[in-house]
Amino acid sequence: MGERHLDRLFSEAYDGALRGGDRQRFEGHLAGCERCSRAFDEFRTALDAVHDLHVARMPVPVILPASPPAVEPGRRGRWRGLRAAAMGPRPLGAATVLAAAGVLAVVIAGHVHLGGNSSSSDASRLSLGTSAGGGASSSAFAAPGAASVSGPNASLCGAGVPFSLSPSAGATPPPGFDLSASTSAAAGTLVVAVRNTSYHAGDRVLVYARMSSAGAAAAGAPTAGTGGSAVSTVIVPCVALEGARTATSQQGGAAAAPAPKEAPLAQASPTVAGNANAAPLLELTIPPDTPRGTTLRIVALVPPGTTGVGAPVPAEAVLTISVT
Amino acid sequence: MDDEALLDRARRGDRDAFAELVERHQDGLYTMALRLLGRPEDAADVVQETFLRAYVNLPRLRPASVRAWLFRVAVNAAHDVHRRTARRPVTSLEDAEGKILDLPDPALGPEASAEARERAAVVREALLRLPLEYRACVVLRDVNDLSYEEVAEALRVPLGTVKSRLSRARAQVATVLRGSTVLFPALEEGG
Repeated sequence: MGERHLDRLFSEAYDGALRGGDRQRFEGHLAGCERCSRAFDEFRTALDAVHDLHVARMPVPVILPASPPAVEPGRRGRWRGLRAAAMGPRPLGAATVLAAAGVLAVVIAGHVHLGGNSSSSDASRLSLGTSAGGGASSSAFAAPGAASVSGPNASLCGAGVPFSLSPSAGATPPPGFDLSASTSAAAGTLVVAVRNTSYHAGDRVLVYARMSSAGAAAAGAPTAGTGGSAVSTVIVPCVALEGARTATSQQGGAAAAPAPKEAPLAQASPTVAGNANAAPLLELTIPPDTPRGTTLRIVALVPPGTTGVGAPVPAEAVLTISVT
Repeated sequence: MDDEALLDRARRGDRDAFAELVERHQDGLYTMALRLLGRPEDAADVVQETFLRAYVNLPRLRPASVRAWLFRVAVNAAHDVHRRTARRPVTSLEDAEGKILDLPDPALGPEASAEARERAAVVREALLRLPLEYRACVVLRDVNDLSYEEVAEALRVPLGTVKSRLSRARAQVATVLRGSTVLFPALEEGG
């Protein structure tokens, strides 16, 4: 009796994928079998309802490494030394993959348009350019503390990148960056945040750090402002990892103090993002030989006179993490 | 420009081309992951992970279909998340219904009827009752409209397996939904 009915063909029939004999048999059977005819109607109604489920929209911007997706040998320039780590099986987690890539992160701003500003794609492109404005600002952060940021990208530290966004957008760290500190200054709010309070030696730490400064953009920026208040500047702070084994002083001459081997405790790798939900992420590496129990500080600093900040305003925000 | 051309450009260092791929596929992947896992935050993680994996693998990426490949990566990532969160006794299926799951639906708009929302909630719950393997099949085919071949590629199973698995999965969905008076009001009237 059970073989009489053709439920097993419902799925392909629903897709219109039955061919030849199967199709004829199915149609012929349905014409004479009330049970199958009704069951197929119900099947179709049910599957139509599944089809009717709406497309959900990705609610947050996708973050990608900022180094070029494919890098030709000899053209790495400043990115030399940030070579992607060897590929291999990795546990799941965006931060993990970013760490494995050993590179900066940048946001592909997607279609999350807030505030109706329209120049997101330009802004995104601007932000993606790892050389955007970098050289010009290299002298702007030769300031106390900033010198402890080292590495090939230090010249980007403190660079302001103007783009359209609501002045308040992105002022809070993205989800998951639960440990945060902020400092309000005249020119804006400096925010620094990380995901965890403790890390292991050798870990790469993704740091969210930005200072937003509404309305003060455009000066010297590659895309001179197109619309007054719609243009804001995001400053990528200098971010340094400081700890017991580094020179103690954050004020003045920190660069010269530590032994070369230990100097790059702070390998801040600035990157900027483009759009309203921009999440400027930086990456620090905790030296592999850091003893357990060490307390480290993540210092975000926007030195006075930083390009893109309207006034010579220094700002500093500090987080404390521990090595376990 | 089709996906494969974009991928080719991305492989040669064109980040904008990759960004375009992200733009094109992020919502589809997010929808898939959301229907598969039920939690928006997990779904967003899956999408993030998918594009990161794609990005770092770009130099050696030569898929026949970019879309199917992305879905394959996303399905794998979703399995990872599922394994990781399976022990998390937070959101039960019951809790995952409706408001928790649902994101604002731009297609429905503010005037969306309560009935439409109720229908959607019933369907989502029916999907979440399926074993993950079956759920993936139905979601890829019926939510994301992938072809049989693309589903096979995404799940890395033969075409025949896709058809049989889809058939069983759909039958289960239909069985669950047949009991819904939201979808079948006659049930209520007829008693």
